[in-house]
Amino acid sequence: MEYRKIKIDKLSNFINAIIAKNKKLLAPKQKKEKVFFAEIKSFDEIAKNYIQTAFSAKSAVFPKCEELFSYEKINGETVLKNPPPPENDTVVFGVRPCDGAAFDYLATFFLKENPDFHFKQRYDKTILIGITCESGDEFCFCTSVGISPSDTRGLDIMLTKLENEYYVEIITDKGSKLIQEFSEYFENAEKIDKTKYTANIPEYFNNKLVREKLSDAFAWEKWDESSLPCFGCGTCAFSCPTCTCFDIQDEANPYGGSRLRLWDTCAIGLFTKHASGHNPREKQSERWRNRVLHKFLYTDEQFGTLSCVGCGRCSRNCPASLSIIDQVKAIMEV
Amino acid sequence: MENMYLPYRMFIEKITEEAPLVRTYRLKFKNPQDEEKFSFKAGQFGEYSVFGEGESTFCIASSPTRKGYIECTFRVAGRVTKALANCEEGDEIGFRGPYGNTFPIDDWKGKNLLFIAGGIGLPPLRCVIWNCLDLRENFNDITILYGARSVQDLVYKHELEEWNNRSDVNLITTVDPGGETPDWKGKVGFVPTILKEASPKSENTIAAVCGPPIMIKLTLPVLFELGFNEENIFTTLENRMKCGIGKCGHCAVGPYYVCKDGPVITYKELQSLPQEY
Amino acid sequence: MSELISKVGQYFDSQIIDLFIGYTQGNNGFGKPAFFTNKEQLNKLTFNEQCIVNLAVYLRKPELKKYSKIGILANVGTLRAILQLTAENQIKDGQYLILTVKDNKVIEFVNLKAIEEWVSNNMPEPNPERIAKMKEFEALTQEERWAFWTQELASCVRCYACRAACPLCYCEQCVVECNQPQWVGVPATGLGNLEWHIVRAMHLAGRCIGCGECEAACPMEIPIGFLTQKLNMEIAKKFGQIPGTKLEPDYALSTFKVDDKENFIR
Repeated sequence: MEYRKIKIDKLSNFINAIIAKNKKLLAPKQKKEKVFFAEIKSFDEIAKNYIQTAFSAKSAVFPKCEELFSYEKINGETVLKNPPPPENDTVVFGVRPCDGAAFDYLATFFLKENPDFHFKQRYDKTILIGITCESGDEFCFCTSVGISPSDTRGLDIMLTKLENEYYVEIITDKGSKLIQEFSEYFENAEKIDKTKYTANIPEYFNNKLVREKLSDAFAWEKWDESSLPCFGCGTCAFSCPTCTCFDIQDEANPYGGSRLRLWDTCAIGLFTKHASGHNPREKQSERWRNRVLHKFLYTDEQFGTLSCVGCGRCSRNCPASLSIIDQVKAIMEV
Repeated sequence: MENMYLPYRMFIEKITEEAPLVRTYRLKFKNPQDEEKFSFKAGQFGEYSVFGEGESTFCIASSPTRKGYIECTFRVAGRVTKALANCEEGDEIGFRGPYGNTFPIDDWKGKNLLFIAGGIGLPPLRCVIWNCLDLRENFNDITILYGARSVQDLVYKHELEEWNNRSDVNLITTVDPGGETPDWKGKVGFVPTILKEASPKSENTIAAVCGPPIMIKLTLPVLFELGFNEENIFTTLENRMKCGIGKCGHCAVGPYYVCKDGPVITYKELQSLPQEY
Repeated sequence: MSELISKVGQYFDSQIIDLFIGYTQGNNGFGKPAFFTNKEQLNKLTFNEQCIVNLAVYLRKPELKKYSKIGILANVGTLRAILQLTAENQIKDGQYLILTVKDNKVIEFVNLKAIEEWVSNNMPEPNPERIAKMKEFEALTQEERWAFWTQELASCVRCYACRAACPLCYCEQCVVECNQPQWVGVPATGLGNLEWHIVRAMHLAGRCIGCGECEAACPMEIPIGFLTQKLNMEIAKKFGQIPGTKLEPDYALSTFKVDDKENFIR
């Protein structure tokens, strides 16, 4: 790990220089009330004074609509083509530690077994610049799932705001390469203790006990009652930085077409419905149960890690104000 | 790195109409290099597609002992199967596979085998039945119990005859009461009932069951009564599948992905999964 | 609030209801939907102007079937949705116990006719900000409007939260779920997004009661409520019909009257 410093006013120069070099820069941008990751053309567009973006930056490596391959009918034969890799690097700026841990999970999920070609093409060309959280809100619960607001997991570069400058941790080779390309904006630095610059996020439940307490939660009798407000809109899954479920659809024209991968969500009935009409998860409570247990139990059994990173987006965005913190606490109290 | 979503290009060599709305397609690889590096084991499945319509999941219904082609049997149920049914011999379709785990045939050597299938549940077992019959000397008694709603709903009618004529196979066919025709020579009754009647021995026997959920539900108690234990009852699972490689999440039952950790599973393992079935 | 809590408590006591749908204190001062199954939970019940979620969306949820008599605390939006659902044969008189609170007084509706009367005397004032925004839209040229919506709808992710949150979207199989044929493109891009929102607006034209749940639910902050609102304005102008005000069906787009204009038929 290497350390640098960058003066606060030099940060905008650094970001604008990245944009000038034709790299795609994604950063949090204010829409109306909410902040979304969007492509920005100048540092001034970056949102200030927000706690968390409405949607995560996962679309940089797992977009809502991705071409798996294209096909064309040429002389009676079908010719299949892989999609090309992105031309330029994508730099994602302003990634919170929860989201960094989410990218780490995405990399494990997509690359460990049956490595995913499309994810890798994008991931290899994506550089993540994280930023330590100075504060959180009542929906944040990273510390309850074993992540701290200054965690560097999954990130390439980490910035922490000090009094007059940003403290820079260079975590990976990708990060190192980027800093070297723009080294004129950075000064050398020593390692420092980030604690006093890091938000204090209360622990709502004990992350070490989650797996044990949830292991027989499938049969909990209160699933029906606790999921009544849910009307299955799917917003939680779409805004979640670790939700990876997808649909495969073909789009055709008379000469060919493509097979596409699209975001999907287990919150809707159609997700598990068989062609025969049978649906193993007929009721919303069964779908809600599956969501909670998947994030806090099943992925732990598969990969050894919870797939919830405590970003709180699901609860913040939920139109029926369901709270995942309350849900997990309720189960753990049984 | 390979793009795992890119299908092999296959062409339909032969179409067999098995029953109303049920067809078997014999497929060959368009590209001989694909055929050379392709191999599969009994129990695995694939994603068959019509470009522009989508993909559908069926087991590979032919045996790996028979080289040069693969077969799939499907019933027309939705958009993609309808598009597949509209294809003719010589048409091109896509195939991704083989995916999933396999029947542990090596562990079955020296044992008796009991195959129980209902209706459209015979195709997923046909691959392993033919695999075992092609290696007949490795196994003791082989019994096949197959039932369908009516005579016309029986699939692989030609092969049923072949199996019936073999002296080293005990074939019992049955149709539901009311489904028999005047010249029907097989049994009449639901599969669990006929199984009870036949009373095959459970000692040193492996049972593989496949069929509609209600048939499996009523067949299992009979098997337990006959003395079969949970590790020796196999089935092959079905669930909504899309990617086939454990990524899209559709087929997951708890931490178990039917496409990756299945579809072949013992009854004992099935009990340990969240009871969403 | 105490009158409300004690009244609902009485209903539980006399077993008139076994489920009460109301609100409880949520975050940022807004109320959030809450489901009460016994009297002891009622101390969390609340109702004020910040309780804006339209609870009528829960009335058609299959999970509610196991409760034999359901009570619901309704704001004006919920009441209008109930009227519209009745006009569309989705709700029967006496099926639910419906309450509202005005000027701190609890009003229990003896039947749906009473709701119809109450709504006609208590129609909400149109929101001046929205009226101003609508005028802005109307001032745009056709090309500008097309450009605006094409850009806004490009960010739609087809989560269908707008559909799930709408009390009047209750079709058991939505048109987008039909794949033989695939009427509306599935991928969340370009033409497909426009198709979905145009279909949604047309299916809600003359039925949308303007509760704003669709916009509140939309995670991408797309102002989709304006599409249905505009269509409602046109229908009110041309046919005099205002959704969520009458018990009898008066649905402009599927009713034929002898004096309908025919001058557009050439």
